[in-house]
Amino acid sequence: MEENIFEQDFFAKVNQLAIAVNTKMTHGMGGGRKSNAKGTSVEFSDYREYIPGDDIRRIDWGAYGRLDKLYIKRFMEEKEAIFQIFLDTSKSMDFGEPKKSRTAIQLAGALSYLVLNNLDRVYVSEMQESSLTLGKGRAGKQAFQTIVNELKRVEFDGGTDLNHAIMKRQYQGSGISIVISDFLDPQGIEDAVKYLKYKKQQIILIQVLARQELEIDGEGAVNLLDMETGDEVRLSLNRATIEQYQSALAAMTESLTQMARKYEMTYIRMIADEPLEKFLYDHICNQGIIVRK
Amino acid sequence: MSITNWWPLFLLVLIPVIILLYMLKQKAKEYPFSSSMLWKKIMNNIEATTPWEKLKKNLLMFLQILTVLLLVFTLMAPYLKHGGRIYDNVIIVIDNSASMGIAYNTDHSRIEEAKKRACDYVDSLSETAQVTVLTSALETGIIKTNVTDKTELKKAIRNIALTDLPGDTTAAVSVSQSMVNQWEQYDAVFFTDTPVALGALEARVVNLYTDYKNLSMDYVSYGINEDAYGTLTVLGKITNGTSDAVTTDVNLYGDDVLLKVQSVTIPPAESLVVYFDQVSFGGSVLKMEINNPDDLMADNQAYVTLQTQNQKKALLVTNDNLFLEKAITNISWVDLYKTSQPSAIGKDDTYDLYIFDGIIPETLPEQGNYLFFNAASGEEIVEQGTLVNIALTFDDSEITNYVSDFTFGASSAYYYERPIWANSFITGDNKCVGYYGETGGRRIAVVGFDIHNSDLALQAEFPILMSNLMDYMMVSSLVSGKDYTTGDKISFNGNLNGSALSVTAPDGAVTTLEAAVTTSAYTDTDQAGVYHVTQTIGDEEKAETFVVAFPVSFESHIDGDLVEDEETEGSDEKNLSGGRDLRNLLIILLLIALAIEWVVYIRQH
Repeated sequence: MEENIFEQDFFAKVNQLAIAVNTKMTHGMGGGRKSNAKGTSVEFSDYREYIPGDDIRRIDWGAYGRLDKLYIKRFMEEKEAIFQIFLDTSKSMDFGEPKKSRTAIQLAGALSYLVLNNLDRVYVSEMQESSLTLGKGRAGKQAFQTIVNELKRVEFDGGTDLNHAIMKRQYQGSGISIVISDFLDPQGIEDAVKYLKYKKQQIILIQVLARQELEIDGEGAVNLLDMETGDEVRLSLNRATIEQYQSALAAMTESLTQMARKYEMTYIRMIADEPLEKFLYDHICNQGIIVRK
Repeated sequence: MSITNWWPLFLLVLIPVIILLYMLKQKAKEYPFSSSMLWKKIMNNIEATTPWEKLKKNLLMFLQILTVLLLVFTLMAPYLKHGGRIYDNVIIVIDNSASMGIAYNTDHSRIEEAKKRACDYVDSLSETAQVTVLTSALETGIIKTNVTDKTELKKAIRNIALTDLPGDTTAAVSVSQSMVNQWEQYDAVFFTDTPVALGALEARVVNLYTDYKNLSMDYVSYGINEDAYGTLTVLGKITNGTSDAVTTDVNLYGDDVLLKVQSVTIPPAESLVVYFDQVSFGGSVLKMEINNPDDLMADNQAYVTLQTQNQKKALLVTNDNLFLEKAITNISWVDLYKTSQPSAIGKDDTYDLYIFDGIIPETLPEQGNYLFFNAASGEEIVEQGTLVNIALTFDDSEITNYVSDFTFGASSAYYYERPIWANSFITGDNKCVGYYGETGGRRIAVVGFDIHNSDLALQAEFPILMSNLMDYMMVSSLVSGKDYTTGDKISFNGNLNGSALSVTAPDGAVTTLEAAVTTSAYTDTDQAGVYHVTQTIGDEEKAETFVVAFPVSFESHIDGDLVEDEETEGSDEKNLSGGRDLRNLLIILLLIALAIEWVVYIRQH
């Protein structure tokens, strides 16, 4: 993935967006997100009686004057949000025109950019077969270039086992998990979703499909070659079989939508040839995942 | 099953070609796809729901093979035999006699049924069968001979017309027999309602006899009453062929104008004579009609012409002249009487012509015309002398039509002074040896020699001369008789000096006959009804009428028991067809196969 997959004006547009986070952060460094912890932000939280050892700079002298007791003002602690981007790097993602892999990388990059831009931390992990290559946690805008360079080096190969791959990620505290995949995994994704939910993750599933997967082109007898497994399926491509395939695809989409409703997560489908900014503005903004600053 | 053509079998090579093309086509191309997950899922679905998927995949190929097979079969023109035989030569005889006009059922007549069955039979024959179509009534009509074109055959069969003729299948059997003698195997089928005496002919008889109810007008006749007005008494005979008494009106027409009506009741299976008295009619044709519809309408009327004296009577007074006698007897409309005694001629005799051969009575009869042979001087005749060994010549005259300028020899002949009212028609040595003419309302002709003394009797010109003489001496009627039955041959006595005769049949068909060849010449009497014959003689048109009766005695009351018992036993009319040509069926199947193939193709693409 050496080609230039990120264009400059794209970032100018993305600069105006931020990812909305519903979950209150429990872990992580200080940042721009609300947390349950008390800390040093400018946002007042409550009062507490002074206990020796407290920072005397925080004593509310006005209160002492009125009540003759020492009180300390407490403020909210703001923490960074922790984003996990799981990128499916199986061979099946290397399909389509444009390739789903390219779109997925663009999407991962764009989302990383948004995360970094909002002073949050992002981990970009690659899933291949049942293994997970955990990326380093990155924060700060200067980290973006590193992420981009890492994304450009991603190789798409092997099969898919989303459940096992995702469950290899160890979590500490809540966060946001974004899974970018085509979800063409016979095992499904439900186990992984349950796991993420248990780990107090806000889950966003982004399904990337190629136009060629939606609109089948061709007829007659074909040897359908599975790019991941190398399996051959011999079938006669005709209107009837194409219709059956499309209804199977629709059934899969419907099942993912049902699952999203059940586990209160977000499921979005993206077509690979869709312009990225259009996708971000139209779909993701509409879903309320991304908000304008 | 029999096959007409074998050559289309070579088209079977198309089948391996089709399979080969499919095998080549079946070599599937590689189709890389992101994941086979969904495809495997739908393959499971397809296999679970349609076990015929493998067949369905190649359905088009099988349909194309089927199409080729059907095409080959169609071109081979297979033919399904019935009874294990297939005929190369077929004779179809259709009875078109009058009784075939009887209603077969409420829709159509027996002949319609016969034609329909014959057409069906033709359809069932193989393409190579050579078919001969005959009609059988009084005589046999050959409609088509050894034709293989079924369309042509069916058209010819449909065009066969019903006649009013009496039926006689003997001739048809005879013709068929002589035809089949040349064939090794054949099929002959008679479609008739009457018994067929097949003899040695191996034929099948399709019995079209059905029970029917028929009243027939057997005949009509009349008598002239001896009253002041010359009224007529007309009688007609009606036969009730049904098993119930029938009450019907009987209409009497005179020249198509209704004269009288009478209501009669005829007991079952009996005949009744109906009288009409005091009928005033001066026309030419009386028609009596049963005013009651039945299964055979053609015999519901009968005709009679009012007689005028058609036959002429001539008395030959001779001592024995066979030449004259034979020549005159040959003329059909002349009734010749002979005597050698002039004294035998009575005063009240009413001969139209008296022929005196060498004898001149003392007193000539008061009525009738005179023709003298070898006459010496006498009343009205002035003999001037005798020519010996003289060559005589026919002059150009009315009497010598067709024979003028003919010269013959005579050993002796009288010559006469020609009366002022007469024309000479025989001369010898510029003297008048024969003359003719009309005086005092009487026609007289004189021939001045004895036939025995000349070689004229040995010449072909002699009967012509005699015919001309008779025509002149007695103005003849065009038709000898006036009442005929269908199928009769009719002789006309056309005047040789007149135009061709024109005969108009009841259906308006006109036949023209040369006056010289009218003896037994008219045979188109296959319709019952009133015929008209006309001839123009000079400026005068002579018109006469004659009637042809329906052959009631033969055709109106056929005994059904006879037909069924004797002839149709064993005839397998239900299984008439010689087989079944499968080509039409195969063409339909071929079209269906093509349609299915088209639908399958559209659905698959």
